[in-house]
Amino acid sequence: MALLMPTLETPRPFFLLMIYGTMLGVVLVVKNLQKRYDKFIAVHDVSFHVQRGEVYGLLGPNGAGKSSTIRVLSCLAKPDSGSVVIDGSDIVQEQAKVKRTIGIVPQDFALYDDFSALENLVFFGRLYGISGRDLKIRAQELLEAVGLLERSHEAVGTFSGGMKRRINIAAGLMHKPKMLYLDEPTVGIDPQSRRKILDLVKTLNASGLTVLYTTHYMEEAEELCHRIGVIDQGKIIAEGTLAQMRQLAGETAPIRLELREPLAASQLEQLKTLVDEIIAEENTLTLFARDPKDALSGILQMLSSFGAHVHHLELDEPDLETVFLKLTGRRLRD
Amino acid sequence: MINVIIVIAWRDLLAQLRSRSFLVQTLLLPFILTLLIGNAIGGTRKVDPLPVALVGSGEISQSIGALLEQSGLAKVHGLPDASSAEKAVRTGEATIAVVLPERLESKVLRSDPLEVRILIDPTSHQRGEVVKQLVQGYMQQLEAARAAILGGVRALAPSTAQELQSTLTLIRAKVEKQFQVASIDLQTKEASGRSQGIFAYYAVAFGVMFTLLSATNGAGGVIDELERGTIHRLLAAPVTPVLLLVSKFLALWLLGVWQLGAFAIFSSLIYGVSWGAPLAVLPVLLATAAAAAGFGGIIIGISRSREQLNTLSLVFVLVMSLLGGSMWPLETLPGAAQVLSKFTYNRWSIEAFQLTALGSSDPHLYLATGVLFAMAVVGVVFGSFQLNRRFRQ
Repeated sequence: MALLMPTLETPRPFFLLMIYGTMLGVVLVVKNLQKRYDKFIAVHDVSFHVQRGEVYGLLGPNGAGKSSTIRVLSCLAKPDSGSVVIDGSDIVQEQAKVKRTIGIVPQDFALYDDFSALENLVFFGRLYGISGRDLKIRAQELLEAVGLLERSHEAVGTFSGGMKRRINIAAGLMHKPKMLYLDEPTVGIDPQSRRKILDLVKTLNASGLTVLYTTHYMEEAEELCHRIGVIDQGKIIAEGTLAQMRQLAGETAPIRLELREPLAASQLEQLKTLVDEIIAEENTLTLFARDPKDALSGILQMLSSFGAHVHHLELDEPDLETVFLKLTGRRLRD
Repeated sequence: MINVIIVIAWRDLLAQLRSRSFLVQTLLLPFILTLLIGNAIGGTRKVDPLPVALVGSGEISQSIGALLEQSGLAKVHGLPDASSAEKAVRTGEATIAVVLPERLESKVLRSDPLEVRILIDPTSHQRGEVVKQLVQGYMQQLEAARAAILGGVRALAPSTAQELQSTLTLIRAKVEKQFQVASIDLQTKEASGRSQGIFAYYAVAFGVMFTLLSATNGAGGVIDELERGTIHRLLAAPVTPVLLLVSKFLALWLLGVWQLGAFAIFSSLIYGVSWGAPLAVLPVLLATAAAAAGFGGIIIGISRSREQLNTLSLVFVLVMSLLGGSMWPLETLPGAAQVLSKFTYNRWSIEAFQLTALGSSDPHLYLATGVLFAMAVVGVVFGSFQLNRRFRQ
């Protein structure tokens, strides 16, 4: 795993981080970031960096520390320790500059329901000092980009969840930020709207926008992100490209089984002789085997000898879920 | 910086002004309530006489009854005994009962101790007190007369039967003269006081009360934004917490100015209520709106959710309106409530508007305006402190 982490392990002076960022085309450098709320450590020694033009994914289950990290990176909470440099500016020392560099798309629909889509965009644009013709043109452009130009004069409160999500993104783009934070932008919407948002993110990235994307959907991370940081319990537990992550999972691939009754401990011990690792959650088993197809017949024979009834069987290619399972023993959606 | 403040405050103001429920609550309702309650309680009607139960017989009793009826403040009906008088007060048939001792005239002549019982229904304590004072005044006059007779009798010292006869004749004549109860000419006339009539009073009182309600509405908007996440989006933009707080309170203040200003203009145009000279009214209006914004700040500061805010603001506005003179005239409040009312926005605002309506430059007007601004500062500081804490969470 150490091979996959960025090469920023050793402490470096702050100005070097800034130079590093500027010289190497790195937009965001997070170094040993820590944030606690009373005794609870929400973000624990997190370090990662995001290259210019990259989509970086923070993947982790709910409560892993993704939103807390985003809060700090959005200047909404001060870090307890560590440093964050965005486009050469420190988020504590040069907050005003940082705020103009970043665009935020929060997880909530942070919009005014009683205002129309156009009015919402105009309002958020004005906060960044945009005015007059530029403001209207920018708002129209974005409404067109998110496919809501025809409904621009309707109150946002009348929109579906998917449409609100798209306006939410447009509001974060009004001031043409260099980097966009998307905090779980597809939560609670239908597959069609989700597809539109994923396509929109791809289009924005293709136009040169750097994106920090948090999600607990591994498919989204796999589809969108150039690099992924897997976060759990406030810590980045793995980082790299999708290929590197699959490599981390090794040759192993998961076999998921759903049984009618849970197996006894002695039966699980016997089953372990056929596979590399077993994760048992009541009557659901996730088995990791180097050659799952070969191992499968032996596993089913043994289960049959136990008198176990298999309800459901899934044989997957190694994916981010596999990586997460392997590293934490839990599923991403737990 | 100013641009950001104006943009945020204007949005908040616009959001409220677009809301139909806000317009109904802040403009239509005070108009209707003023019309209904102002007319029902006061309006152009005369003062209704209080029902008074009188227990007693003889000339003095009749004289007291006549005096009360003549005052126009009481409608007297006689009752046979004290228990029926007490029952009449308890059942609401009478607001006050005057129980005179039996054989009152002879007791007066014998210098026996007199016990006059007066029962008052505390809900009408003010007018009941007036009736009580009238009876007490009459009894004091009676006591003075008795002392005068006693003095006269003691000064006489007859030595012959003829002198005794002559003295008795004189005493009889004197007693007859003294106990011909002198009629008192009591004239009651209605005169509007500081409130220029009850209708005008309620227009001001409801105007102030609804300004507080509109402030709680605005405060609710801030809590909604915290829950919805728009506040955090604003703070992620180039908006500092201080700028955001200034914008939010500016919006609450402007909302109060707009609402009270509109109500003052329309109530004077439609109902003919006089609020006073515009230049005198303006500072009081600005101070009242600022105090309402301060109240909004306090409500924001102590509420954790919209539901909590709705409940708390209802309780606060009701209590302040009850104590502060928005439900009934300040003058009618009992002593303890008069003291407590000094902690309410309503009282200071109503008093200040009463003075502007009279065109008065009484120092109390400046005091009331100052107190309102001070209340605004306290509320805004408290609300800002609490909101800032929540921003950091």
